[in-house]
Order: sequence, then C-alpha cells, then structure tokens
Amino acid sequence: MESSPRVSFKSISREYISAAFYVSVAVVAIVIDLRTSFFSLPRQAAQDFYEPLFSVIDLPIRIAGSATSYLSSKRQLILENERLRKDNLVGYVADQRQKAQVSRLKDLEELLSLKEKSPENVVVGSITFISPDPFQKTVGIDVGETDGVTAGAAAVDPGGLVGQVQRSFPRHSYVKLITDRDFSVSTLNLRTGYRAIVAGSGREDRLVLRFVPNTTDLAVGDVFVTSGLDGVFPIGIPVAKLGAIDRDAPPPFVEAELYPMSDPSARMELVIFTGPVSGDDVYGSVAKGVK
Amino acid sequence: MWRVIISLGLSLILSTLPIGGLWSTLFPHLAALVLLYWAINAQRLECPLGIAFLVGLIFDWLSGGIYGLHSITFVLVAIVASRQSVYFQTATPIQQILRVFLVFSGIEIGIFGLIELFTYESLIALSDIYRIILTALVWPAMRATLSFTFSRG
Repeated sequence: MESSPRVSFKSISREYISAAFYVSVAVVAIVIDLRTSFFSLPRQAAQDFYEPLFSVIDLPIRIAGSATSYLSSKRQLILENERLRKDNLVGYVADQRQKAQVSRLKDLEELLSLKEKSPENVVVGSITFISPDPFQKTVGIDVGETDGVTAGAAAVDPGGLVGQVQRSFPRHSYVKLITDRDFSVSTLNLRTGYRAIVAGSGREDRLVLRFVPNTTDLAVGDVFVTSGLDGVFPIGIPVAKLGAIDRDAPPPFVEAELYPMSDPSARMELVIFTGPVSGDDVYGSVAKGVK
Repeated sequence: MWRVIISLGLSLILSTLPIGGLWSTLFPHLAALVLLYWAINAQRLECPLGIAFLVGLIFDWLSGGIYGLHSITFVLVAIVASRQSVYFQTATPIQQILRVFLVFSGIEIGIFGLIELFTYESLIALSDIYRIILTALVWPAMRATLSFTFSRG
C-alpha cells in the first residue's frame, strides 16, 4: 500500500483549479441535461449497451423467479390439497352423522309405530349405559319406576324381543339382553308350534336352543316367538330365527344356532312394556301365525 | 492503472444494474467506494480528479441519471479522500464508517440540494439517505476486499 500522501497532486492550487474545472463542466452538463434533450442520444446508446448485458444478468433472476413461482404454486397446491382433504373428511363425518341420524329417525319411527299400537302400556327408553363386563349383556335405560317400568318387564324393539328389565329404579332401569348367558325365554316355533327354550349364548349375534330332542322337526329359517307360557312375556313377540342345526351332536338334544330377531347392539331406544300387552297388538302379522 | 480501471469498471456495472425493487434502492454506492479507495491508496495516480469526473459521467450515463450529477460528487469525493488519506489509513473501522457517512452525505445532500435550488428539480429522496448509510457500513469490507485483491498486483 502506498504510504506517501499527496504525491499525485502537485500543488493545492492546481488541484483546486482542476476541481473547479471539472465541477463547472459537470454543472454545465447538468443544466444542459435538465433543460434540453441534448443527451437523449447517449442515454439511448447506454440502454442499447446494457440491453444484451441485462438479458444475460436477468437470466438467473428470471430462472429464480420461475423456480420460486413453481415452488410457490406447488406449495399452494399442496396446501389446497390438504385443506380439501380436511374438508372432505369433515364432509364425510357430516355425511355419516346424517346417515346415523336418518337411521335413528327410522328406528324412532318404528318404535313410535310400536307405541301407537299399544299406547297405554308401553314406554320408550333410551339406552344410557352398556355394561363393560363382556360376560354380562346388560344395558341401562333412562326410564324407571316413575315411568311405570318394573322389574321383569319385557323390552322389545321393532325386530322383536330385546330382553327383560332386571332391576328398576325410580328414574332408570337395567335390562338384561336376550344374548346374556343367563337369559332364557319360552318360545314357540311358528311353523310347527313346538315349544322350546331359547337362551342367550353370551355372543352378540347368537342364541341357543336348549333341551330340544334331536328328532324334533326343525328347519333352517324357523322363527321362534314368545309363547306366553312363562307369564312374563306376552305371546307373539319374535325372538329368534333358526340359523343352523347340528343333528350329529351327541344325543339326546339337538344343537342349533339361532339369530336374534332384535338388534339391541344397534339400537339407542327400547320399548318397555309397562302393563299387559298382547303380542298380537304389537307384532300383529307375526303373532297371527301363533294362533 | 489497470487495477483501477478493472475495479472501477466492475463497480460501475454492479452499481448501475437495473435489478429493481428494494435491492436496487438500497444497493451500496460501490463505484464511489472504489473511487474512495483508490483516491486514498493510489497517490501516484495521474489526474485522479479527471478519473473521478469520468467515472461519475459514466455512472450517470449507465444509470440514466442527470449527466454531471455524479461527476461532481465523485470529484469532491476524490478531493476529500486525497486530503484525508492519512486519517483513513490510521482510523479505526468505526471512525472510517462515520467519516465516509459524513463525506458522502455532506457531498450528496449539499450538492444535490444546491442544484435543487437552481433547477427546482427534486434530486434527493429518503432512499438516498439509506443508500449512504449502507455505503458507509459496507466501506470496511469493501476496503478489505480491494486491499486483498489488488495489494499484490
């Protein structure tokens, strides 16, 4: 690095004179440029000079801009896709809720039709509790003694018998479902009139036929309804349909699987009989076959 | 001499590139800094004021500004730099930054303001102040870069 200052300037006066000269020329140039169009030609030439340089220099900027635009568009698309997916999920959930509501409305209409058939001795209760014990098929309902519900009353749904009120409290009750292992009901085979005991199996969708000799006339599809002989359930409430028969089982009894006519696991409301109700009133078409 | 021409040429091109946007407004005055550097360090340079005038004129030509405006600025920068070369070689970076700011703001605002009085043209904008501040802040780095690049040549 050069260390001696002011080598290029011979004297201060000469420096000032040259500075004054250049400043004067510059001022003249400024005035000319501001007041006339004298410099329009060199200005245009400057633009021509820069034009190819601009295109080269601008290239990476344009590429970066395009890349940014592409990435931005892609990101926007991803975000939009995500939003639409969420909307779709929300719509799906809303759709499912609507379907569930329609289904429940249909159930309620069916229950209402049951109640209309026997309005005086019937009360509708909503299921508020399901026993967490897998060996107990019990549900709680929001109607109790104040509604006329007593222990032993039959609980039904539009399909048929659901269970029996096990315990009753002032404002709620517990219903033992027909699928419970300890549940049994006296039934009639609609086709043959044969009386049999149908009991719960502990499974949601299975019932069993107990103490039926293997020579009994049974056919797949036979419908069993309450016989009314037990004095608990009115006659004619559909209980189960025969699904499978195993006649090769060790004698003397046949092993048969039955499907419950009701569907308590899919219902939110049950109909409870609070007084004497004829199955013929409620399940007219089915009960007619009993007579 | 070639070092001066190359560095000034590059700084002129960089300073006058029409990049656009905020970057264009706040781009430091590289040409003025390079001129300042050479005015301080190349004392054996012949006719420094002539070079400064020419650089200013080219700057105005390439940037599309008013012809002669930066010529005056650069000539005055060259004079001040030659007068204060000892100070710039001994001062701390912070002091140099302050001095560069004072020199540039004094010259630009003074000259531009004076010309505004006579021409009734608006020449000073707020972005010019930002640009001067940025130019002053960049000065130590610019000086180090130029020293590193050209001191061996």
